[in-house]
Amino acid sequence: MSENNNESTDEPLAVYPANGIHDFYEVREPLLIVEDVSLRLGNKLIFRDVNLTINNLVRPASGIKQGQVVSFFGPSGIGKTQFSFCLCGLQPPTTGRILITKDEVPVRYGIVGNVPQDYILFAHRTVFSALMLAATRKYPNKAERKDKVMSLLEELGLVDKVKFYPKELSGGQRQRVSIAEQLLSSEHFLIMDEPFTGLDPKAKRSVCDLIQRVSVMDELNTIIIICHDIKPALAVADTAWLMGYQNDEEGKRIPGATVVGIYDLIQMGFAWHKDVYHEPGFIELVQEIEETKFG
Amino acid sequence: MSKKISIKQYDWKKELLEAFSPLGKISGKTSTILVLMTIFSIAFFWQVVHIPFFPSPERAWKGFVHLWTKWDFLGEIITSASLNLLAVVFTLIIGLGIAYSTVIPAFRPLNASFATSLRFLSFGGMTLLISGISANQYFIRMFLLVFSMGVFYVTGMVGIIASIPKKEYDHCRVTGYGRWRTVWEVIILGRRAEAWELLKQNFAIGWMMLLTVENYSRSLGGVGVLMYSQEKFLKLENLYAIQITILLLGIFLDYLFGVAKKFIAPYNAIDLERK
Repeated sequence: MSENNNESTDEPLAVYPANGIHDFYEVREPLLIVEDVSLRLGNKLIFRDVNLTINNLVRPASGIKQGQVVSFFGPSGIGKTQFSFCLCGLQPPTTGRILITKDEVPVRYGIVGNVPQDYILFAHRTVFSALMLAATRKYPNKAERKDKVMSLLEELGLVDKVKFYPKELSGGQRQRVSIAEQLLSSEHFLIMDEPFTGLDPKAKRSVCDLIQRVSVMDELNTIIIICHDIKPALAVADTAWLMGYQNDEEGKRIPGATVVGIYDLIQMGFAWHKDVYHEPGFIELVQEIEETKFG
Repeated sequence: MSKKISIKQYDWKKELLEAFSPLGKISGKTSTILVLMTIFSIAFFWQVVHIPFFPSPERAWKGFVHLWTKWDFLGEIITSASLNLLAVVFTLIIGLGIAYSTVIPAFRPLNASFATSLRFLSFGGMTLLISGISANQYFIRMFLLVFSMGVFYVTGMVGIIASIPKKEYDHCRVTGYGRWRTVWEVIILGRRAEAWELLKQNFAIGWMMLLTVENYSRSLGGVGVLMYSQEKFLKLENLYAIQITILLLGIFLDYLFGVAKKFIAPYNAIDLERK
């Protein structure tokens, strides 16, 4: 996965200079576009009017194959998981469309990988066998496939687990195997649904580290975090979208969640560095969101 | 997981309390003691309590010796066991084929009628029907056994398939697997441990059905025919000797099923972290 055969040749849409916190970076072609997406299940409007674009970010000066990490966060029960199902093609939206802009095609399953909260893996397949199977479509040549699988296992620290069944793995190892499986099968897009749930602060940071490591494996890797945990959602992302409800002029809640806040964490100086957790500005931002916009 | 406990460490009060508590956890030693006590209690009860038509252990043993010396007991066991084993193979092939085809909508009405209606058809009625179709006694035996086991096997397998969580199919779709691959991974490979376990239960049903099935064609012999003849002449000690033999044979075959399962579904046998 470390080989980058997918480098963008498009002209940048915007160039942002170095500012002392990060080196200069370019915003290039859109990778995924969500246009006027709404979802209604039965009589219930789950979410509505979601519009957003995930662009390819490039950091030419750093030598880093900078991928994209974006977060969708909001209170529990607001429809984030349903939104993730729409993003990976499992649930067709009621209105609007989700486009993968490389080929300008509507999303369908197999393009956007999904790592669910409970890390579903085949109980009957060993780690190696599951990953070889997942990689079959993208890498038809067996020798190449084996190389890709082994190099990814090495990058994720799972080489000694190749012959293990999921039952023999810890939760963290299962999460990494699930990430590897989805990276090998999808087209660089990876949704992670609630990756921080039930973890202590130290474990949350190691998951953030893992996400950042995966994001720089390939320039086009795009990781979409869906969670209700504000701090890691903002710490790991370059852009974050807050999902919530809006009120009408009379103060009554409008049915259906939507995007109520966008945070450009690169411009705010909070993206791409590990120590963001301790920065006063970051702590203030988390507190402000918790107190004013969450719940 | 049982662990070795020395005599000094053995806290019998705690073990006793656990042994009689719901969801209690007992040591391996307590487990062995309980098994031995159960066997001893049954043997004691059998020896001292005289129930009409229930022969004592000595008489059952004499019956056992009589069967081995005067009858071709081994031959009858082989006849029945081979019939049952072959019926299990046919049940597996036919039953799995029908159960797996429930994922194809066009076959669902047929499967639904097979899995539900046929269970309620009378065994006797089916015997008359099959007797009219074929005069081959072995075929009749085989058909009745496969039919008896098959309908329950299909019903069980259909239930297992229906209870597979949607998220397992979603996992396959997101990973880009086609429909056939999904069926192969989630239903066929992914549920082979359950399919095998269910087959084990149906194999036991087969033994239960032997008396009825074999008596439709006595000339072919078998344990069922032997039991019928012993019962007819009220040779109760011989009858119980046969039943105990079937019980022991069943326990042994259950063990073999368990060993085979470790090869068929090795992932299912893993309970602990690898050492």
